[in-house]
Amino acid sequence: MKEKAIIAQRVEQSIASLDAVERALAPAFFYSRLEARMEAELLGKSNRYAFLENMKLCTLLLLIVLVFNGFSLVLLGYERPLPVETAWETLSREYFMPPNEFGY
Amino acid sequence: MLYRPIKRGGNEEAQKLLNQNREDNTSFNLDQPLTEQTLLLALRNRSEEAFRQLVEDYKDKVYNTCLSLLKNEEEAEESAQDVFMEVYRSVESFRAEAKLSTWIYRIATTKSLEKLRRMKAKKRFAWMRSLSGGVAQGFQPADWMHPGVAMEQQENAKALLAAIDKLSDNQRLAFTLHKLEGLSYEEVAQVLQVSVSSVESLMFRARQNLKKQLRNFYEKNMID
Repeated sequence: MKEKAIIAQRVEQSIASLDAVERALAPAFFYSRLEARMEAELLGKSNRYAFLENMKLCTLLLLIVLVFNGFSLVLLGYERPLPVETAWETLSREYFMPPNEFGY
Repeated sequence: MLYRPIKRGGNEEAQKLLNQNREDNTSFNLDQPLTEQTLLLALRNRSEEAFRQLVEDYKDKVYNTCLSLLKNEEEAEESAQDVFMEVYRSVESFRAEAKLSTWIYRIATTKSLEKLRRMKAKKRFAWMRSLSGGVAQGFQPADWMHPGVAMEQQENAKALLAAIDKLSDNQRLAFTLHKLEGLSYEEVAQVLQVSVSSVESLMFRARQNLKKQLRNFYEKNMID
């Protein structure tokens, strides 16, 4: 019985132990360290991806890519006419003869 | 988000307000705070002076909140830095529907809980590594003591702090903000975005759970 009363008292004392607690203070030079970290992290990240944020540059790049794309499509879509084959070329192709390189 | 460097003074409008505030308080310095509205405007315009004042005003509150939840000085400082970086990043989207302090406490509790989860995951991973023969490295909060607890209360507080760790997130937040940070039930309700009666209920249940845990702890210790 006495033990129970002691335990109940210890429980109440524990619960009340944080009643008059003082606020922990931030360590010295907190702002300096924060500033250094912000410069390292935020500025570093922004430099790395800064070109992505630049909308003008992105739009210009996109336009250049689109122009090249259209240009290559037009070029690839154009069918060149087959060269006209002479009678001698047809004959040499059919009989696996080398083309006339001797000029006679 | 595009990084805009902190600049002295900010833009003209912010500078005007800062100057006006200086005129109102002729001996302006960091101990004489700007009004919340002025501070917010200057912060949105990336004023270094305003950001420095914000950090000076809130660093102890934020650090104490993070430390009370994380129970580790280094992690608490890192978390407090995360809080101010988040404030700096998102001050433009802050609509000032709540008080600035409420918003900062909300970020502090969210960041601390995120970090706590990562630390617990790391601890679990370290435990698994120790099973497979690796060296266990992890978060050890067992002997931690809040620096603001009076010497004669430390023995009792140690058991209580260990018991707080076993509460649910909401109960732990409500208890920590009220007991260790000294916020009123109304302020805790605003930070947790619940009603005051919910905070009362959370505090009641937290106390009941803590009493139960402490009773078991002392019974076991007295028998041993």
